[in-house]
Parts: sequence; structure tokens; C-alpha cells
Amino acid sequence: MKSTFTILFTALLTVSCSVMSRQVRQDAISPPSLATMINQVDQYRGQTVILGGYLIEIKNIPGQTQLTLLQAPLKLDGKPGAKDRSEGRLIISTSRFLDPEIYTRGREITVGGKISGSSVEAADKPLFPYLKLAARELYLWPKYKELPYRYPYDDPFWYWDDPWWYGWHRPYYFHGPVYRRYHHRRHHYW
Amino acid sequence: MSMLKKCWLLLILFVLTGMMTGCATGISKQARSAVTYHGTFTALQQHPRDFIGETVFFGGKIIAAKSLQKTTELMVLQLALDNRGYPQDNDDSEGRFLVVSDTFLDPAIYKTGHLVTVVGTLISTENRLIGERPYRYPRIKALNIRHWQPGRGMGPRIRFGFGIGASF
Repeated sequence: MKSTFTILFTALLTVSCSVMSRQVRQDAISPPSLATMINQVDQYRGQTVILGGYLIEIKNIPGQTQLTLLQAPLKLDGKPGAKDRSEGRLIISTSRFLDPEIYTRGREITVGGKISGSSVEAADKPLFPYLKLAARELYLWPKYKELPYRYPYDDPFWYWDDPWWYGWHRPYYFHGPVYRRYHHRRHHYW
Repeated sequence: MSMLKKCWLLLILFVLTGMMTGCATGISKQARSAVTYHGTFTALQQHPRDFIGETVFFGGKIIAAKSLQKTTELMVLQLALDNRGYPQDNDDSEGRFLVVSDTFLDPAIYKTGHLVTVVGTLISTENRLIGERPYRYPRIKALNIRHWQPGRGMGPRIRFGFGIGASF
């Protein structure tokens, strides 16, 4: 019974972060809550975890890039979910150069990395709780998707930004690129 | 000149104009044929000295346009181009470069976030900071610049749709 449970759980875990490589997924522990990891950082230091969030700030320093994310629990597909359920921030460092023109504020990032510290160890009183990670892998979620075809039952207003319709319904300056539709749609579940 | 002849001339003029605009949708063939560098942007950015004087064909998203006394400088985030020379605005960038143009490029037209495709000659590099990190920008002297109107130049999208609509 126990083994079945373990297998099921592992399978779930594997599915849940398919944007990370197999190696990282195998090394990753199933993470307790972020608050636990922050408070008991000595226990978790050096462990690999897969976490994610929304980019707040990027800092480029010689030989290093530092990202600050608003942590958010990951959804089943490994994408950061509700901001309201954030337990703190993630400070991620990588030796790779990441261009601040691409890594802009608000972008969704999933990271597999080693825990290297937390706000508990900060010399002065930290402004917010954070967990420090040394990135092994970073995944930047695409800004938009090209939706090749949408069914009317997806969205009652599906024809709003559709070139088939907006020629008649909207003035020409609404003729935006395809991704406008996606942004427009996203408000439904934000 | 008879009326008929005038009509014919007008027709020919229209057809010619149409053809010209048809060619102007991308980078001209002539400019493209001048291109001598066919490698990746990364290779050029890492070893720029080997490629000084080569004519390159790159495109991307404008980060900033700066009008200088005699030239205009565009800072561009490099993006992959499709076969028509249209930059693919995803996160697939290999770096940044600078475009130097002798003609005045109005920053009100060459706005931040707009897409451009450039044929030009690699003249030098320039070190600047991104944040606190030094970055080596290849400088490209423009021979031909194509500015893409936002939302245009995406080519035909084949779509099928049905629905019930009402217009008021």
C-alpha cells in the first residue's frame, strides 16, 4: 500500500514539473512549505527544490545575474499559480547572463535550484521573508501563445479580437497582433 | 493626349506602384544579396574581431533609439528572423547590438518595443554596462533598415471561423 502511494506520488511529482530536466526532477525533494524552508534553512541547505514565481527584479552584476521572484505555489503543469498564496520571495542567482529586456517584471519563472540561504540569516531585520537559491535550471514561461484556432465555447467573446470579425466590429487601431487576444483572455482567471 | 491613353498610363502607374509596394514589404533583394555573414549572432558577438567589415543581416526589438548629432543609434535586442526577415518576438534572443545610421531615424517612429530588421556592416564593438555587468555590443552601420509596424508584417494568417455576430 505504502509503495503504491509512493509510486503515485512520484508520478504526480514527475508530471508536475515537466519543464525541468529529468536530472533536476530526480534530485529535487518534494518541498515543504516555503515558510518551513525559510525558517529551517540549515536543515534544507544544499537540497534541490523546484519552485517558481513572478519576477520582481533583475540585477546584472559582473559574472552573475540575480533574480528576485514573488514566490507562488506551482500548478500541476509546473507554472506559478496564485500570487495571493505567496509565502515570500525567492532570490535566485545564476552565473548565466540574463537580459533584463527579456526577464521583465511580472514574467513567470519556474526554477530548479539548490537552497543556499534565507532571510532568517540576514544580518539586519529583513523586509520580507525570502529563500536564496543557486539556480540549476531556469524556465521562463512564454509571454503568450499563438492560438491557432479557438472554439466559440472557449470564451463567449471569442470573436472580439478575431480578424474575421473585428474588421466590422472594432476600429482599425484595435488590429493588434495575435497575442492581444491571449492577454485579453487572461483576465478571466487572474 | 487622348483620354484612353491617359487611362492606360494611369493603369500602368498603378500597377507599377503596386509592384513597388509589394517589394517593399521586406528587406530588398539587393540588400540581402550584399550579406556576407551567415553565421549565428552568438559567434559574432563572442569573436567580433574576426568579422569586422562583414555585412550582416540581423533583426530584433528596439530597446532604445538615440538621436546623436549626425547619426541615429538604435539599441536592439536580437531576435531570430523568419524566412521573410521578420523578427520572431519570443524570448529566443542571443544578445544585443547597436545600429548606427547616417540618416535620421525618428525616435517617435523607431519606438521602444518595435521590431526592426537591418542589413549592415559590422564596424566595431562597444563596451557598455547592463546593470553593473559589462556587455560587448557589436556596432553595425546600417545599409538598409526595415521598421515593422506593430501588428503588421505577420503575413497572412489562415483562420477559419464561424459565429453569430451582430453589428450596431
